[in-house]
Amino acid sequence: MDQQEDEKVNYVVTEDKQIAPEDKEVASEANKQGKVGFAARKQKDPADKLTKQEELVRDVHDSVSGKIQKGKLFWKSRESRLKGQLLAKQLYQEKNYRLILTIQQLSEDLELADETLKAYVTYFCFGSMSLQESLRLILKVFWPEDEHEIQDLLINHFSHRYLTCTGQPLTLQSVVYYQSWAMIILNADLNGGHKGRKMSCEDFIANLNSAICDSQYPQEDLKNVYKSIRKKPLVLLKIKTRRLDLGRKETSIFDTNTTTVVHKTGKLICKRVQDADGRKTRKGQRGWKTFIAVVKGMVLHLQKDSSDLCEPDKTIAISLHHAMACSVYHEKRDHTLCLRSADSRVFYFQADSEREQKSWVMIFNLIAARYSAPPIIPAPPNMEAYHPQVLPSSPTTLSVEQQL
Amino acid sequence: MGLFFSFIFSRIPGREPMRLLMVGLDAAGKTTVLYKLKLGEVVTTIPTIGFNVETVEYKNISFTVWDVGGQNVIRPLWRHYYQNTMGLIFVVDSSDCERIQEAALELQMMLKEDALRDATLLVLANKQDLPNAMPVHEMTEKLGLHAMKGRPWYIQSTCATNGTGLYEGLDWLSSQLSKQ
Repeated sequence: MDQQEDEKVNYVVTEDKQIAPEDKEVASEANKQGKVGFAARKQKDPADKLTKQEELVRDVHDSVSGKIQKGKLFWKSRESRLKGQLLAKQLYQEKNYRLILTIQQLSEDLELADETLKAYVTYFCFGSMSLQESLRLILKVFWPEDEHEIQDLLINHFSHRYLTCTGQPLTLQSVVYYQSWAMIILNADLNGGHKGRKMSCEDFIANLNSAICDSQYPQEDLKNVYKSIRKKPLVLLKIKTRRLDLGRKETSIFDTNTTTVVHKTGKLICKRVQDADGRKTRKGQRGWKTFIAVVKGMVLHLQKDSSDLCEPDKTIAISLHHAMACSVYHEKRDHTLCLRSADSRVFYFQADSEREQKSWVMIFNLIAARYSAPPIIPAPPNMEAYHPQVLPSSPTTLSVEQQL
Repeated sequence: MGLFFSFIFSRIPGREPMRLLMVGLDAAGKTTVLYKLKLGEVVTTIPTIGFNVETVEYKNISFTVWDVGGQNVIRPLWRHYYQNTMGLIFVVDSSDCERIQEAALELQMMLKEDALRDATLLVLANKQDLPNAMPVHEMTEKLGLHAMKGRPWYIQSTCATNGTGLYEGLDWLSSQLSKQ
């Protein structure tokens, strides 16, 4: 069987080769003519003849390059098919870490991925299984989480394979394709750990029916699908290939702009005066507390002792962008300074000495001046919306001269 | 009395999750925006064919953001997921002058969806760091935002790769949504 195929290929290719030299001759002739024509134009410019000749040359060129391309494509597709079959076998047999490498290879060459997945799905036999069971079966062993194109190819070939296995007409492919995706999306909504209102059963059915107008999905089946996905989440073998897994860490606004340079460290006694919403801080929280203050990058960290910096829960972080500091007089305490941040929080600090007080005021103002990015120009206002003042928290990209 | 308490509770800003939908043309930078918000770092992305969904915690509010691909075959499957959406984030590539009209059409089409009738609109004019980026007021005009009646909207210039403007946009969205 294979030999026969090979022969066929040879035949086709030799045919190409046979044609090619002839074409080349014609091409070179035409080229010569073209050159003559070009010379003629310089002298007399017989426009009509010339354009005809040029067209001829172009046509011949096109047909030759087209044939060569075809031959190349044929070889390439055959090669990728064989390679795909090999990779599919690997995918089916390999576990875990080798999978990642294979998927990375596939993501670079989509044609190869297409062939691979086409061959890959043939390893599964769905027989008399329902669509949901079949989908569960394949997702349990293979789901490249970050490769959306491969996901799509997989579902595409899966729906084809499912119909072949169950002996249904292949015209239903788009129906199966949509239903499979609908199940995956529903699963992400119901079982993805996201809060908020979830998709209801009626909506799920209406949604799917509106996606494909010409064929209606049987109601009862969809109800069962919804119930079983709700009860038993789809298990996806999520293979991460791109992103670093940082876990479900909460994002903090300060993560993004922390540069590692420590500008100043020292002891400060702090009193919160005003909160971010512009209101006075509540009574219980207004007392004076001693902290180790570290100005790191654009952020002032206030921590209980010097080792706490890595634990975000224990420190207070104040971003110094668009902040302003000045020394103030306080009745009960000496060497006090006041810091107002961009989100209108106000703090009082007590420094150890007058020199320290001046030094802190200077460093706060210096950093605010050096690293604050110019405010973003707000869009023309719209009456119905609330407009906050937009002061970017990211550091400036301007050079020192431009900034100061 | 019960009514009174439910009124009080509804006034207290809590951790009530807000469902947001993020759309836009392909290569506008939706996935980059999502992961910059989620992880605080830039990830290499490829065209989204399926979807990405993440929960982002910011200022006592958790946002569940669905990032729906730009060039999407399974777009029709999204219609009913719009229904619970409180905010629509529309991402536009500011440096792509040729396709701004297409983006405007897409936006109008999205807003016609019945399920998005009450959704608040946040437009992110992304890729503002590129040299040929259009200024925000020009984009506002081209997207036809001024003609929009009865819907709170806001346009924010952003650069997803360094995070400029993303949190400012979320700030607006959260204050707007908590007012409602």
